[in-house]
Amino acid sequence: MKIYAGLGSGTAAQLIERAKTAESAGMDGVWAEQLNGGAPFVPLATVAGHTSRIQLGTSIALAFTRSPLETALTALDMDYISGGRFNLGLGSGVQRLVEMWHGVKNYGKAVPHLRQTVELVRMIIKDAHTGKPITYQSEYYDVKVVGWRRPIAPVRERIPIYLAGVQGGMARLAGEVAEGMLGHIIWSPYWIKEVIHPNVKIGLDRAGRKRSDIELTVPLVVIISKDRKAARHDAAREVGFFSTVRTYQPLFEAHGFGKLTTEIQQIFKTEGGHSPKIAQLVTDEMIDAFTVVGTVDEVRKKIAVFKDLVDGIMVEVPGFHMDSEKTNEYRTALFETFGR
Amino acid sequence: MKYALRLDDKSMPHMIERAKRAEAAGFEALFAGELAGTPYVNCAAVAGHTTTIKLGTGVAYAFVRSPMTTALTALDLDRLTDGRFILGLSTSLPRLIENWHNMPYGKPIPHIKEYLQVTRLIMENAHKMRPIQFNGEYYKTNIVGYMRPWRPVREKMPILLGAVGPGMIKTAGEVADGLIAHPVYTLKYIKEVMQPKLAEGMAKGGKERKDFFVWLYVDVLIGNDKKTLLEIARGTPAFYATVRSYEPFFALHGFQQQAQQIQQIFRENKGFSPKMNAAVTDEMAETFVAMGTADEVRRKIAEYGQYADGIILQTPTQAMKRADALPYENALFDVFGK
Repeated sequence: MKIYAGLGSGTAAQLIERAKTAESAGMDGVWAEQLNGGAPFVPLATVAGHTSRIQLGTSIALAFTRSPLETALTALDMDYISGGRFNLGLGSGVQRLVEMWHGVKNYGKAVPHLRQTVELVRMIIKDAHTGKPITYQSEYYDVKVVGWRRPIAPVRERIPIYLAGVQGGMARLAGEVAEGMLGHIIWSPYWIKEVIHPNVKIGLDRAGRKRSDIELTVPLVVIISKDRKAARHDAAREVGFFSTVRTYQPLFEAHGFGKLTTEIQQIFKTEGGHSPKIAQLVTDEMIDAFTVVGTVDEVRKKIAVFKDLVDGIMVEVPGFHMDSEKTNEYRTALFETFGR
Repeated sequence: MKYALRLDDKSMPHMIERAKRAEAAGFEALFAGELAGTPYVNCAAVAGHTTTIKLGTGVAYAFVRSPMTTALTALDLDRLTDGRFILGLSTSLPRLIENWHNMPYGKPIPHIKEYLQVTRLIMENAHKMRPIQFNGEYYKTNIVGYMRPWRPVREKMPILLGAVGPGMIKTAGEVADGLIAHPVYTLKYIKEVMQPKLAEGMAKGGKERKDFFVWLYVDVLIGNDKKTLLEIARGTPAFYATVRSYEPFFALHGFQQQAQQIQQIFRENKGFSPKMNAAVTDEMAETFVAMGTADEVRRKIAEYGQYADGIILQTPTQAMKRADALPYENALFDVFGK
């Protein structure tokens, strides 16, 4: 099982230090996310010239908040500056976030939209340096790039694409078209077995691909701390945040948490996302289903469960409403535990 | 006078070396452009290799990313570099935004004004626990339940606007914190168009010149062999002549006929041809490129300097091999560095 780490945010010096630590600890790679940052590419670019072995990936870049040409060229830049160590993680993001936060008007249907984004991005990555016209017409795109050639040859004409998803539809798409699938923090072992595996298989079968053609990686919020109470509270805030997202309701229902998350969504609506009541409503059972909290030994034991379920884990610290001092402390503990 | 260079180079090690060298030589800033790639990535790539030099996008296209993406990316870069980031944005061209990037272009001036408003709103409020709302013609944003967990390095990050035509120059004066002037500007254009339009815009926006930063991109060729310099420099107006929105620059200098001839050759050859350069007169080459010996170029740049706070020096050698272009690049460091 591959071990990846979330890169997080910080000053250039902090990011470089963290990436170097991951590399020397023998980790397989670092990933950067987009929620609190604008472009996950930026922190990865910062560490590219200071590392030489580890993979650098976006977990994820929102697919609909930048143009496919911009996504493709950025991926080429990243592969170029890292000497072929880049993985492009793409995700649709939830509709509320993309439309209301980013002001994007044509979210449409996430799965077909993302499928077309992937096709177009792949085409640009492969052809940008040839100078031949790039034309693509579909339900979501009408692109015509003529009279232009990217002056730099790609390190790789096909850059691995990882798709992020929560539910079956995206798992089928990933099985069909992607080199990897990035799970969501709220994937539980139960969900992976019951929903993700069968749907990835449907996608793989459709495209005539094998299980080994796709890497399944799951991000895990891991909190290693002796202060059990504080750690569980931070985990509750993380789970509470995701409980407010209506799109994820089917997942919570499948785990038997549907009634509670509906209540949380109601509080979110009336009091806002910062209401302390949200974390208070998250039960111990929910914390244990979706996060890994405990001492070093407890955490190791809990994580062993994933070995038979996925090809990689990405250990991540909780990120919502946390001050950076605390996150840094948690991160240090993660690197010490998971470095080889 | 502050001097800056372009960041882009032909490989990652070259880019890092260039950034370190520019910092050591006392340049104020390095600017990364957008066309073949993304300028934010290049700025980030050298952030950890430098400590004092400013890193900027000169320019990044606005409309290809959501305002929230641009705002948070700028905050990230400012955090990474500890306040050394310069955000320069532009509308780019309709064909490029609509056909290549498949994004809405609309009317560039009202569109970019809204874009700047939303971007600023997000940059200044992302870390506060309050909804961020904007309801405009181009953007409807309603960010609730989100808080960026880090305070910005600078509460108000300046946004510079790239501009070619008079309308956009005026807009920059009115709503931006600075202007990044396109290298197609000539001295005559700067005096006769940029200056009055900028003043007009700043008056409308209630701003004073001292609160505004003007960066001028200037194409520079330094050397002792005038004939060789002219041969290289001809490529610059030859390229500009093929872009329809640059026609006013040729008209201003009475070069319309030559520009039409160049366009004709471009069409006949279905692309760039060395014959285009032959249609560029010496006068045209010298109008668009500041060229000559070190002393001559110093004098010319000083003339540009009367109208600017900073000059971004670039060599028009993109079409040349790196080794052939190197002497001209080195000359920039020698003449304008410490």
